[in-house]
Amino acid sequence: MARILLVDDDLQIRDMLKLTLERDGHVVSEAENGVQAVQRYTPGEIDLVITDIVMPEKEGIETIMELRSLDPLVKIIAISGGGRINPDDYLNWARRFGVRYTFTKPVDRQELRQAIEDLLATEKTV
Amino acid sequence: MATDFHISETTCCQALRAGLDAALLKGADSEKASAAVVDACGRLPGVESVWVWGRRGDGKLTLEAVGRVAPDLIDHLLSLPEQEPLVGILETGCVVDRNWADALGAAAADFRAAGLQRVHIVPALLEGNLEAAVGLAWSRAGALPPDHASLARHAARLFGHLNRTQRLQRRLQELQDNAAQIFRGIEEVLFVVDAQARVLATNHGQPESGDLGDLDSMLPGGRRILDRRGTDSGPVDEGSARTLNQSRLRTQTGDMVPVEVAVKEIRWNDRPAFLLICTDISRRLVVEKERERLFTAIEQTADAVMVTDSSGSIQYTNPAFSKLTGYSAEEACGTNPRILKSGTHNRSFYRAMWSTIRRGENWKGRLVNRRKDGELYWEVATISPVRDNSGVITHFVGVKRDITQEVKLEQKWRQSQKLEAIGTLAGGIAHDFNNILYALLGNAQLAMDDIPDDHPARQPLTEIVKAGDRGAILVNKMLAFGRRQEGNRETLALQPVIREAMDLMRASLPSTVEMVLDLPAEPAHALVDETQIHQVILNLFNNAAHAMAGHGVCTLRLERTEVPENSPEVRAGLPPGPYHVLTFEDDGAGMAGDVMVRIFEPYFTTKKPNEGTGLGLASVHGIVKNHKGHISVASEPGAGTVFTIMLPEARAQEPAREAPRAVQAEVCGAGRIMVVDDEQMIVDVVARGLRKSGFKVESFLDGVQALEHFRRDPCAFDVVLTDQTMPNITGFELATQISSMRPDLPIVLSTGYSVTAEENDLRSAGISHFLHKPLKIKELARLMGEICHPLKT
Repeated sequence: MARILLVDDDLQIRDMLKLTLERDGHVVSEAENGVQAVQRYTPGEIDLVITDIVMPEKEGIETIMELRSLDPLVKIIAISGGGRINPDDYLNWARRFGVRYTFTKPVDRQELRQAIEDLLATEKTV
Repeated sequence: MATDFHISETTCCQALRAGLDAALLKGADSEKASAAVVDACGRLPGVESVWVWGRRGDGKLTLEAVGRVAPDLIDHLLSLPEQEPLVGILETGCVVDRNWADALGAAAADFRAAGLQRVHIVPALLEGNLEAAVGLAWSRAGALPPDHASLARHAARLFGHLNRTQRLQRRLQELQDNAAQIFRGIEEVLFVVDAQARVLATNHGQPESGDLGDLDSMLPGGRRILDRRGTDSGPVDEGSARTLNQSRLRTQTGDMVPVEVAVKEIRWNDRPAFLLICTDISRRLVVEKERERLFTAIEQTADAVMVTDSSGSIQYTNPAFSKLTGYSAEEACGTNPRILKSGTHNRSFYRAMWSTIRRGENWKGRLVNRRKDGELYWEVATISPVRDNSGVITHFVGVKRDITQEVKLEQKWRQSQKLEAIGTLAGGIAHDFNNILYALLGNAQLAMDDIPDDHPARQPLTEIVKAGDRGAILVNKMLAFGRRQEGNRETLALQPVIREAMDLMRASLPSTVEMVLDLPAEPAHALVDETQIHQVILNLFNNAAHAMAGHGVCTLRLERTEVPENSPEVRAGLPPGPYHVLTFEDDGAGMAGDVMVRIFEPYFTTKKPNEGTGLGLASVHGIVKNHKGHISVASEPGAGTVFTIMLPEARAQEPAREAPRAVQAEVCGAGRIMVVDDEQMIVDVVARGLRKSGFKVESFLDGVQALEHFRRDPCAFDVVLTDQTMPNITGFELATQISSMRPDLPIVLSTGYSVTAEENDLRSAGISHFLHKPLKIKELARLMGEICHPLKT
């Protein structure tokens, strides 16, 4: 149903999530880190980005900011594995930067489906 | 000739005797005396040779004088006094006469050879001692006439007396000289004084006898000392250790030297007198002062000082020691330091200490000791051996300091370091751990998708998912525990927070457990993170439920209290002031002391492995500490447990829950607002209205221009108010652009058209508020005021 860009530095996560999303009918492309994410994102060719927050090379927040500047209307779901700083802090930050859905790992599959459905369904009309 | 003897001899003897007496009584020395004796006896008719022997100091007779004695006989006379049997006979007082040849022994032949037929020697014994002897010899046969013998005897006796006197006089002089040597030679200054304090003799630069003046002229204060003799001469004042018998002596040069005076009663010239012995104590006073100073230092130092002899018997302790250990100096002296043993250290510890110091090395270390009242305390001690001049260890000195507080702080610090380390560790692995869990769970779920419902693998896969979920909870707990965050704290009344926790718990509350709430009516405000307080109450409840094994009463009580300056809590580090005290009491199994001290330790639990993680109370502890509060626990086995949590009271402010929108407060604007609208009239009205309320306003008719201006200085504004429908760029688009530069900037979107966009959409564009046109300026101003000065606490 949608073209999703999946950004996470963990290979197992990417494999597992890719499989999960593909089974739901989505087309998934991957990026290992923020730099690749920005490289592989082309507005119009990607419907949704799912990204980890704490990554090497480019932190997830920075990635989000860059994606936003490429495409202000980009739809982003941020997930976090926790870390030295409170994952809630990270996700709070993400929310401020316009990320509407944030999850902590391990993510409930149903909740993720719901979020994707939600984001894809919205149109902007004023 | 023989007949001549008899007739004129008596007269002659008398005359001789008189002459001899006269000569000797004139006070002649023994030389003149012996000469007089020889002269007198030599005049005796018929007497040819005369000699005199006199006693010397060593008791031997010596030849004093001779008259008409042949030279070769003189040798005999010199040596005869040492020969027996002559000396033996003379010492008995017998006269040598008829048996003279036997008495003289070998010398007799020479006497005969010299023509002497008879010898008469008469000894003089005084007090039983042979003092002198007079010898006569003549050539005629026949005995000495009695008168002659009588004269000789008299002469011997007289001479003996004189000799003895002289000898004794010489001896006396010797003794006097000896005494004078001592008198002059000793360091001490001596005064011999009479009862009127007149100096009779002194060695103090003066001649030794005669009336030398008043004692006080040489020894000021001497008369006073003399008068006070025999009374207690202990110290007059503690500070200087001066005794009654201390005074000052005037030296030759006029200086005054401090002396100590001893008074002895003596006889001087056979009359009662006093001997004053003055010892120079100037050096001693200096040494004493220094000792005094050192002693004061040791007495007053805050470190405890203990001195033992080489066997360990305590000889001295200072006041700081008593303060530290509770034992007074009297109690400690004579005992052994083992009275302080706490039982904490084993025997080898003390053995090692003793062998170190006995070897002559210093020992430094910490130990736990026991006070007199039984209380244990930590001390750091340095024990050093003390040697005498020959290098032998005679004492040990120990300097100790109470470090109980420091140790406690150290332990606390170490504990918190441990906790921090765990937190850091948790944080470190949590990220990867969560990834692992996610991979596990996700794949398990995928696998479950692939198999029919009745597939046997479904069961184990479900278990995998369950395990993964448990893992996730565990990681969260660990993270929650290790976090040092501020959290989302607000000033809230505790009562509603507690009640909400109760509501949350009510679902899992078994009917056999009764929960009693005792909350005051007056709202108890504190700065808290609501979620964390829920967590605390839930954890305590879980703990209580476990202790009560599902049956019993749990009481939650809230009270307000003031913690004063000198309370145990303040000493434990809690600031004084008003606190809300939450007590959580259960009537469950209770805990023993050894469990209770570890109850807040992470992973410490008395539960079985699948009943709990041991992190519940540890996270409670962490939360309370982060809230700048204090938690303590009291428990007795079989008598239940009470947790007491103290949270600092916060000044109540308008609770953020009740929306301030209802309040029509005067708006004091102090914010910078960007207003964007393509209609001039609206811009004017809005800008004017907002400026009136005190805001700074910059307005733009063109969104693109506004965006450019914003780009140049994104920090110049606190709020953006923008219309939606504009040429060139919509409000929505503008907002998105602006919020990508400043995601935290509140953007208010106003529009005349109905909005079909979802709230989430707006938010993702950075729009925080939405207003319908026409705008009411008052409302707008109030909104701006709210935005610029949020009433968040």
